[in-house]
Amino acid sequence: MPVYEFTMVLDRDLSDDDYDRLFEAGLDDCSPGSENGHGYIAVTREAPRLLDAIVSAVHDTVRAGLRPVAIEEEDLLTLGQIAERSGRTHESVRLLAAGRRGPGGFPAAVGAGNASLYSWAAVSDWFAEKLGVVVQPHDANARLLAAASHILRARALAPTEDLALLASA
Amino acid sequence: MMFDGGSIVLTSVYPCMTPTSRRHLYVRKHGPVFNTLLERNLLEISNGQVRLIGVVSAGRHPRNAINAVIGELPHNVEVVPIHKGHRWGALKCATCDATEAIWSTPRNADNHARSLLRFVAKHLHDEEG
Repeated sequence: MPVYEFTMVLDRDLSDDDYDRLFEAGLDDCSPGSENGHGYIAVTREAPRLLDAIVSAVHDTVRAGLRPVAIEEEDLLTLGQIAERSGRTHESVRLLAAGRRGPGGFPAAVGAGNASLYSWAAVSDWFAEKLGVVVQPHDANARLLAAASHILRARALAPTEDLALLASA
Repeated sequence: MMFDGGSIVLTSVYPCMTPTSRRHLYVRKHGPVFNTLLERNLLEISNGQVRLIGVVSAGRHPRNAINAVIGELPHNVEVVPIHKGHRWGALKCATCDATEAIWSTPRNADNHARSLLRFVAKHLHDEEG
């Protein structure tokens, strides 16, 4: 089953008790944290579709007494995820990253071995500059994450019944 | 805090135990080991069962994938031991005070390790700056 990764921004900072509530609500596959006075949850969730991962993660968060107000796309990707986005095989991307194929100078990774992560912004620039290949910066999953984020922001601003009316207009 | 009897079940491997008791360690109630664990907030007591919720050895997580990340941190990111509830600890960026929880028993250690690595990567600019 595919693993989907994104970050949910929360409506407030996390207390000591919130961490345990999130774990017990089913977010033991995620990493909650705090940055600039706001709580967030780095989601790493196995699901049949991205939509299922988003809906279940939001549901679990609400059940723990917190409210997600935005979703951020993840820029740091594994080679497997880069292969998927660029339409290449995993082996092809692995050889490009190792400098054993292509012009070399592939953006540096963070971490080592199977845990290596690469900045998608840097990698997509490298594809364009070195290979002349424009990889789609906003694939269907990115659009879905953006749509989900807009809905969460809207939910934080207006009552659900008003949003339902607006959506059906 | 109430404890109304029953054996003590440690669900994590205690460093000094041998792996012969199916991850269950029986400790005398209010004995020296029990009291030490209790003082360090390493026990969670509910329904008469006591669970070990942290590891006793400092600085080493029970899962290798997570140790691989926390073993090579830049100078501005540190591990803060917590051993409370489901949190084993947290990563903390000394520059901006951002933190991210490290679970004692994540559902998938490899995925959790990757998430922690992302935290490290996002705070590398602090090291460069």
